[in-house]
Amino acid sequence: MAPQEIAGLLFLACIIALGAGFITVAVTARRGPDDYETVTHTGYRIRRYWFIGLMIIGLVALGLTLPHMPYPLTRQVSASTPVTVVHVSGHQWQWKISPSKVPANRTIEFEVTSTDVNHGFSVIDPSNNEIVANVQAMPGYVNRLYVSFHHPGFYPVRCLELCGLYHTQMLAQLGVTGKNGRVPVASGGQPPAAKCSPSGTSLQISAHGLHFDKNCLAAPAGKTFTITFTNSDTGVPHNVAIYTDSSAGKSLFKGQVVTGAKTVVYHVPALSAGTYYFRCDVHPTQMFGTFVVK
Amino acid sequence: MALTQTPAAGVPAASGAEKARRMAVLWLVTGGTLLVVLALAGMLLRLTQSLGVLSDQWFYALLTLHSAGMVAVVLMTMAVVLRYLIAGELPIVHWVNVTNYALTMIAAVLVVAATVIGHFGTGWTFLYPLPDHPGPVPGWSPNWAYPYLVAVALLAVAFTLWSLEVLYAGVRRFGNPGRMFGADILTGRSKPGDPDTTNPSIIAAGVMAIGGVMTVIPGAIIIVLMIINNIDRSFTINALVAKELIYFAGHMLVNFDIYLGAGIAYAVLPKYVKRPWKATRVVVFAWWLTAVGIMLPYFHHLYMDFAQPAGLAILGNVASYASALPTVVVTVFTGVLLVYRSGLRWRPAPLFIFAAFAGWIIGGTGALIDSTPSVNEYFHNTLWVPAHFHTYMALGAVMFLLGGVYHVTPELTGQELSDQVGTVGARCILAGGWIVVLTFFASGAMSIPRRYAFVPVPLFEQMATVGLIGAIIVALGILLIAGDLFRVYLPGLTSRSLSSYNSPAIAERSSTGA
Ligand code: HEM
Ligand SMILES: [Cu+2]
Repeated sequence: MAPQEIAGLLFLACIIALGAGFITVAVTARRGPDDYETVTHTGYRIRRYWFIGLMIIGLVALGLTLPHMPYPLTRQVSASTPVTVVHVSGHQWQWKISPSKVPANRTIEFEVTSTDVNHGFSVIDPSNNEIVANVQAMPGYVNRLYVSFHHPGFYPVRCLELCGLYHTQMLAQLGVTGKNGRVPVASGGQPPAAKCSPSGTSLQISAHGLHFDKNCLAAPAGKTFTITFTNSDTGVPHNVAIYTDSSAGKSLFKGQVVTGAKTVVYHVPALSAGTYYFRCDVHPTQMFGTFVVK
Repeated sequence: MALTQTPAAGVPAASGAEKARRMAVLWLVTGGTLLVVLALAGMLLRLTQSLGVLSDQWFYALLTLHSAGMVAVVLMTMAVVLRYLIAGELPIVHWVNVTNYALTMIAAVLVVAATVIGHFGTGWTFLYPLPDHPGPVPGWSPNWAYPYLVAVALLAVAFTLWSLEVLYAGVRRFGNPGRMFGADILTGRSKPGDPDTTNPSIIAAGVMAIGGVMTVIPGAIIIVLMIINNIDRSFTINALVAKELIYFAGHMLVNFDIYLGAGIAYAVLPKYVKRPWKATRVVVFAWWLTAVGIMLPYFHHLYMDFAQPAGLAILGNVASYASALPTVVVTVFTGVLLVYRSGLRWRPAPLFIFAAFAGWIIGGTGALIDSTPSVNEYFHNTLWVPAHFHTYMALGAVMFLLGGVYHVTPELTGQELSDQVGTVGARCILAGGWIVVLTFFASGAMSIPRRYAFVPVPLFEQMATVGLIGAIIVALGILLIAGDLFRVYLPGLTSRSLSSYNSPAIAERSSTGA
């Protein structure tokens, strides 16, 4: 069971027990009045056991949980254990994560910092959307978090510290690779490839609030075409660039970066048929989509 | 009939007690209005998470208004009600009361301006350097940080004045601070309930007052530093130090909200259960522990900042657990014993106080679970956090406050609030309120982040919708009670009709020895 499930169930049990206690006292309060001396006589004895009981619960809870604190103090592995270091840096509003793919079943050392305001780096398990790693990104400090991931797949990354208007858009992905060194494509968490078909050679797309208004663009094969790009984020640089695939290793076209609010027309050379990938090079983790040529 | 007689022209200047009464009426009318507005803002936040009505910019502005406003309004009105309940023993210094009201109102205007006009949206915690660094698409102009920071500073001044005034009055009344805080009871020199000994409400107010004075210094430092940073960006602050200072002060403030409620409970509950709540040795000792213990748990706000030394995190963990003991073993336990088979009639005042115990303890349990570092890794900044503090704020602190208000209304206005309206209102607030917090808890356990207008995960909107229904039921209850409150209070505010306000009644009321 995930820690949050254990904690949640424990809490549920507490609510039921405490709630039952309060309701019982409330319902029976009308009875009486019982002599208060007698009530306190028994009550204070119960209080003593209640106190001792709570002390024991507290101490046991400390004993059981302190060794699992998420700090280097308890998590740091011995010098001989191989560790993959991942540098994470938060900016308003995107994550820079390098490398962005890590092997499964290996201790990962996240070195997390921020270049501007406080952010919260959290990694989400794609199978159940639950947090598996969580640490603050604070300007001027590097926080080291040790975790290992057991299932290959794309793990969404989210910001958990309010960092301004587009706080909720600080999304990224961490790839966890399997034995073959690849992230399984069918794993959850990856946006399904969008579908669309070409209609003419004048394409249009706009950026607003660190988002493209489309997740799919299409152009006819073997013909030059234009992309009219409207960047309506005042003061924010964006562009449109086309790559062979989402690894963005090989670019087919790189549009000039423009600072909003501004509209540009990109002239793109003819491409051969295929399903490609486009993104904003400035915000690659938030602004991307499928580029279809046919 | 003496209660409603209109004073003839040329009445002598109002006595101290009459001035205190009028100020209390003014505070409660203002506080009640603000609470209604802020609760509706809370509902709008949940509405946005459910149906998406507000833009992100408005969502964060209202989030900031709702939270800063709630924390401040609950703090000041609770402080006023508790202060009024002990006014028979410790007479209120009028000019302090008036100054505090003025400061609070100016702060309210500044916060409303910063958030509603300026869209200042850092959340109530205004974490450095966000106020001055709103980002490439700024949600607000950094200049709006000034009114917000100044408002926080004004509130800090108001609460400090309240604190100093309580300590001054207490020391005057009992001759020395020790006796005000029950040292003579602890050493066995006096017996609880002896004439001229302190009572639990006074101890509670005194401990909060010490806390208030302790808080203002770090609070003032960080606000001044942040204002300087706003003026001149080349003056930077260490982000970790800033966060420690902000959370120290913030943690203290929200704790005052709830502990002031205990002071109210001491004064109110005994009247209804007809059993005494005395400053016994255990009670005195529990409050002394609280005075120290309230300051240490705040390190738990920085568990996920590994830059904070791990020793402080462990201290925060142990202190969080330990600070629960005085509450769970003494205050609430005794309160429950007091009610147990007391033959009590459930009028609104005891009903609210008793409900507050449940909210306090259950919210506190949620907090304790989250104050475990290895759990915090999974709950930090998820909806679990708003879940636990809404449980002990909305279903704890605000319930104490309402209990106090129902109890003092006849004294303040010469009229009773309707028991029927109060009971129906209480049921709505409790039923709806528990729906609100349970959906928050469930969302937190599912890792849904806090402060998100929308999260693309399954069940997010469903949870928000159920929570919204709860919030609507709460709003109905609050509006019912507020309507009744205005019916009774507004005439008291505009006319000077209630002339016979006699201090012996207050003296009787505040000696909780019953
Ligand atoms: C009518 C009942 C209330 C409703 C429906 C309500 C609703 C909400 C909602 C939806 C949020 C945003 C949660 C998130 O996504 O982070 C919130 C935040 C908050 N509320 Fe309430 N609330 C209520 C009463 C109160 C009361 C009585 C208090 C305090 C005395 C309070 C203090 C706060 C605080 C401190 C925050 C956190 C803001 C932040 O993250 O900076 N609320 N509330
Ligand atoms: Cu963020």
